[in-house]
Amino acid sequence: MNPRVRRALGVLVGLGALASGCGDDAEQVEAATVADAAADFLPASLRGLRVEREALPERLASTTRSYLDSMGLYSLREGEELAATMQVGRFSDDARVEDSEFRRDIVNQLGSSQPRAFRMGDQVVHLTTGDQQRVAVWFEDRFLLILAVRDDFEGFRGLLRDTVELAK
Amino acid sequence: MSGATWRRRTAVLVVGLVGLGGLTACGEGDAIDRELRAALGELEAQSRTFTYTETSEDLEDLTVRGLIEDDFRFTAQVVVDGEPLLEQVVFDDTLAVRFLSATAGDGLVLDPSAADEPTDLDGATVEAVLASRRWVLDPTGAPPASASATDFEGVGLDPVRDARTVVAYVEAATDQAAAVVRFNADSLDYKPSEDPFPTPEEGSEVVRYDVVAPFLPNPSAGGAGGVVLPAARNFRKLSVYVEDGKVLRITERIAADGDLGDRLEDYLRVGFEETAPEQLGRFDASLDQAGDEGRGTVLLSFLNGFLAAVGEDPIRARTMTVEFGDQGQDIAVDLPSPAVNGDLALLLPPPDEVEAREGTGPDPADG
Repeated sequence: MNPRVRRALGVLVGLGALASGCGDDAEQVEAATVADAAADFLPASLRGLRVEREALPERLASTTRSYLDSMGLYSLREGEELAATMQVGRFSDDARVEDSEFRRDIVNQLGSSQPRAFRMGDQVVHLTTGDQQRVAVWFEDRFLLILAVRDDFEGFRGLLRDTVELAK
Repeated sequence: MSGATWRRRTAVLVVGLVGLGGLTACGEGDAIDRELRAALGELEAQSRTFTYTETSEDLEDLTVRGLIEDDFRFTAQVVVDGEPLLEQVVFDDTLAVRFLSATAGDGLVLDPSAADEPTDLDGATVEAVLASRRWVLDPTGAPPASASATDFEGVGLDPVRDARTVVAYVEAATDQAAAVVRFNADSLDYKPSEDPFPTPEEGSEVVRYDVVAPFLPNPSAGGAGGVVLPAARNFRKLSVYVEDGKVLRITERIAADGDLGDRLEDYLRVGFEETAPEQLGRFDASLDQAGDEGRGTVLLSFLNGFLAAVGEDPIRARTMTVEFGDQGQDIAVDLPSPAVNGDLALLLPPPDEVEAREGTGPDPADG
C-alpha cells in the first residue's frame, strides 16, 4: 500500500480504537470481525481525481468488538499523487447512531484539532485536521464517512460537497 | 480607595447580586439559556436572508444584505451611508467580488502589493478589473467558514464576516453573559430608561431574550495578576427576538451610557486615584466638556487608554441589528457570470500581518 494511504489511515485506525471505547461496554458487539465494504456511490473519477479502492490494513480488517460491521477505504489520486482518501464505515445494529452524544463522542476522537460543525446543504459536516490533512466527518443513515484531503489540495470544499451529495 | 467609595461600590455590588438573583431561579435561567441556544441553532441550520445594520464611530450607517444557502455558500452586498460599495459571492472554494463604487478600492484594497496580479483578461490587473466594476472570480479565494469566540476580537474589521457569523457571535456573547432572561416589563430588575430596544408588542407571540451583561470588575481586584479591566462584555446590551422558536431579529448596543456610564465613571475615578491622581483634573474637564451627549464616548476613550496600556483590544461602541427572513426557504447561491478570473489576495491583509495578528494555526474549514 502507498505510504501516504497508510498514513491517512491513521484516522480510520483511530476510529477502530474508539469503537471499543465509546458508550456502554454492554452495548458493544462481541468478537465481530469487521468485514470490508464497498462504497458504491463513488464514481471512477471525481473532480479529475482517479478513485481506487484500497485494501484495508490487516489489523483493521480483523478488528473485533467494533461498532462498525464493515469498512471501506478509497484513494483519490491526481496522476500518481494521492490527494485524498475516502473512508466509509457501516455501523452495526447495536450502535446508537441516532444518539447525538454517540455521534459527538465519535467525532471528538477523530483528527488532531477540535472538530467544528458546519452545514453543507442539509448535511452537518464536522471538520478537523490530521497530519497535513483536512478531515471531514459526517453521518449518513448508518454510515460514517471520513474524507481526508491533503492540506495543499485546492478545492477541498468542492470535493467535500461532491462526496456529501454522492453519499446521499 | 476611599472608605466612602468602597461603601458605595459594595452597596452597588450587593444590590446587583440581589437583583441578579431576582432575575430568575437557577434552573429556570438554564432553561431560558437553552431555549435561546435552541432557537439560534435552528436558525443556523436553515437557509435564510439577512439584513445587518451597524452604527458606530467609524461608520455612521453600514448595511450588509445577503443570502445564506449554507456555511459555504452565501452572498453579501455592503452599503455604506446609502452608497452600495461591494458585492461578494462565496461558492464553496470560490470567492467572487465586484466593486459597486468608484471609491470602493480606497478602503478595500488591504494588500497593494497584490493589486498588480494578472487576470485572464488580456493585460488587465485584478485592481483594474475591480475598478471597472466587473466581477473577479478567485477559484480558491473563499474566506474561512469558521467563527469561534476568539475570532470576535476583530469585530468591525470585516462587515461581511461580522454579518454572516452573527449567530456564533451571539452564542459567544451568551457564554460571556451574567444571565439570559426573558423580557418582562414587570420585573423588578427592568428599567425602561436603560432599555434601548423595542419591546414585544402586547399580545404578540414574540419572546425577547435579553443577554445580561456582567458587572464591571472591581478596580482594586486582580492581585498579582494585575488589574482586571472591563471588556466589551461589560457594556453589551443584546436582545434576541424569537417567535415560535424562529429568530426574527438580533440587536446589540455596546455603549457606556445611563447607569453603565455612572458605574464606569466610578471605576475610572478609582483607577485614576490609585494609579495617576494627577490625571483626575483632565478626566473631569473632559467629562464637563463632553456634556451628557458625549459622556459615554469620553468614558470609553479613557477606558480604552487603560486597555491600550496593557495591550488589550479597545472597546468599540456600536449599535447593531440583524433581521432574518425566508428561513428554510429554497435559497440557491450561484456564481456570477460573466466574470474575470484573478487572485483576490489584494482584499486580504498582507500574509505577514495576518501571521503576526493570528498566528499560523490551521483552520480545518480553510480550503
